[in-house]
Amino acid sequence: MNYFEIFDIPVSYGIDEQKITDVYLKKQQILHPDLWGEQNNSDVSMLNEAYYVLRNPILRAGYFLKLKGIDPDAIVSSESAQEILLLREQYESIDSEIEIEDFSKYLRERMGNLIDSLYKLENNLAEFNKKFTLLRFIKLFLDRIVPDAYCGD
Amino acid sequence: MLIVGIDLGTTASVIAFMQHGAPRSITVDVGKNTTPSVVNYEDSGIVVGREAIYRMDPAHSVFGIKRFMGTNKKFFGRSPEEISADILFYLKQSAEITLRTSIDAAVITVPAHFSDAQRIATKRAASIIGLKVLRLINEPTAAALAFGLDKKKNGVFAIYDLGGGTFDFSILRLANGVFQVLATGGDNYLGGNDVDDSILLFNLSNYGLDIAQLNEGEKMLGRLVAKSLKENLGNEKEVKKNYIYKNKNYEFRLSNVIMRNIAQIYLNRTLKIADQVFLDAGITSQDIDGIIAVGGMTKMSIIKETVRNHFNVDVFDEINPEEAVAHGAAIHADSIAFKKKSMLLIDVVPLTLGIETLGGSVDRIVHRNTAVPIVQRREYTTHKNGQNGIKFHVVQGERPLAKDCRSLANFELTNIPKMPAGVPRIVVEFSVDVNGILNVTASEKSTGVAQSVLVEPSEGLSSEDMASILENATKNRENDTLEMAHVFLKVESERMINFWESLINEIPNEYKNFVRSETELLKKASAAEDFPQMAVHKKNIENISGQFLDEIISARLSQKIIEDKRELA
Repeated sequence: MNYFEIFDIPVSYGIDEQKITDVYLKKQQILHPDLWGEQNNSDVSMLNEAYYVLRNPILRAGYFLKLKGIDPDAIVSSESAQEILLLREQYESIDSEIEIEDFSKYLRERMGNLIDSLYKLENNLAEFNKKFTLLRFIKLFLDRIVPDAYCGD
Repeated sequence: MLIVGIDLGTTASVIAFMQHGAPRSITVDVGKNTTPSVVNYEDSGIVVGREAIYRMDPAHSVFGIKRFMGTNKKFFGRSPEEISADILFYLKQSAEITLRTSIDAAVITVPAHFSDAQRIATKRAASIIGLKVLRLINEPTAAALAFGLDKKKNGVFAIYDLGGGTFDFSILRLANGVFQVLATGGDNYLGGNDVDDSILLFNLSNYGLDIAQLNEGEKMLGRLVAKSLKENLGNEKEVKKNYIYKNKNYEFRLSNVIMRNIAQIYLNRTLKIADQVFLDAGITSQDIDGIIAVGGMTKMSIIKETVRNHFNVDVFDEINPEEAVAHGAAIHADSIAFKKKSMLLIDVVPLTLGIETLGGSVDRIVHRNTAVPIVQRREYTTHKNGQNGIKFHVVQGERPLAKDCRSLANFELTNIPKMPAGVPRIVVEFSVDVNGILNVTASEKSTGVAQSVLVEPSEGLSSEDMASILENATKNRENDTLEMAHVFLKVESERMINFWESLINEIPNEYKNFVRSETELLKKASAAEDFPQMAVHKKNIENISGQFLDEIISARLSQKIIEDKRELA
């Protein structure tokens, strides 16, 4: 059973979040170990994993491609490479905390744009893959420059 | 048989149970619902709570042990687990006496952001005193349970939990008895204690004093003075209190302006964390129905004000910020013990769990904010021909490099059959249970030879330490509960008699005669070992003394009558 089937929705990048949550909570009511003991743990774990992946736009894109039998690109396309180089230059010229904040905000917006464009590319998987790869690189970049403030101590 | 919820806090602890479908705190410490998490280790015995503070004996006292859970630190030869066990023991026994029944199991709360090692340490503290832990639940989630049950509300709410030592921020969906945590974040080293420290530092520097010159006892006194300034400020412009250092009197001050400046520094840190949690949950503050404020620090109006302005949403403070967490734990304890289908709690992994890979980066295996229970597998292989062992380093945290994350455990899978590089299939399985505790196993699959490795936390007590502590604990606490309760009642009564006899002149006049006669009656009952009567009079004194005990203690602090017992410096 794939993650989309678990929630009884079609395999598509665009999802109905409300429906996913409704099904998720309903299934939790009949599986959760607090209510029924540990015997369903592997089902609950699968349900939790599926819910997490489908609600996360980046993980969902990767999973969607995988189901379509496509490996994500290992390297970015040449126009994407240019954008990444530019971002890197921009980052290197930053010298204050506030600028980092603005820059990470900008990166988040850019990721938002890319995610929006993915919805329109469901039928053009090559292009979908390109945008997804760029998205992953920007995410990685963001992770490195603003590791979350509260990661342990 | 009774099942309770326990909030084992950095500065104060609360124990609660369900009575007629509603959570209720159990009066434990001289007529109060909250017990300071302070333990005094004297030759004569262990004293916990307000009396430990009253002893003014910092040289033998432990404050805020929660901050050291999951570490190897020792105080007076005791591990943080053992010291926490002493607090739990006090709470449990006192509650048993108050309710006249034995307590068998508990749900204990931990900061949502507690690491694996800290969670394991908390569980071990309970097992040292033979208290069964039904579940560890996250503090902000517990607060949401108390709020949700009380207000019968549906919607999406954020919990802003700023306590004495830790900060947590969680976003939950409340829907007809289902409490679903969407995302959580926090800082285990951010709380009211830091504010107290800043107030202390500010005042010391006004007199040209350096905190490095103070010994532990002097620091403790300073913090108590700072804390009481903070608590007494309210809407005043400025408050003052004396601090005695090396037999000299210093006047400590705290103005509203200074308080605001100090609080702002810590508030900004909490808001930054909260912003990230909103990002993780994939929603904005406009999507939520309100923020619920819990934790002792949120009693300060500046905090509620700032949070309200930053997010532009309602801040609810109707639930008691100090007891809500224990109440939520009691609700959950009742629900899981009796498998009640009307309530369901779905919580998440607070911190990403992963494995260090070649080059020191982290392979993230369980992402933070994934719901529990969760099992994730990852396959690894060897990179040398004939390699028969492989080392794994398990880490927790969000940073990309393992060295910046918290190290959880190291283990080695050995006896891998000799094969060319890249052929063995080593499956590492991460499994996080409903307590948020991680179990890691590894096995080699290609040959069908499976070998599992159970991981122990790198810090905290080892299994052997634990075994020997347990053995001693059982030896020491072999008596059955009733007998134990009697012994405890007797000790407590005697302590109470001495306590109030020595303080009789400081009791406000309207209560003095009552306390005097009740103390006499308690003395008589104690001499006759009439336990039911002892309980009655002890209770009477506790009930009435709740009205003035804190005032007496703080008065003694400021009136420097403390030298009567022992030298501090």
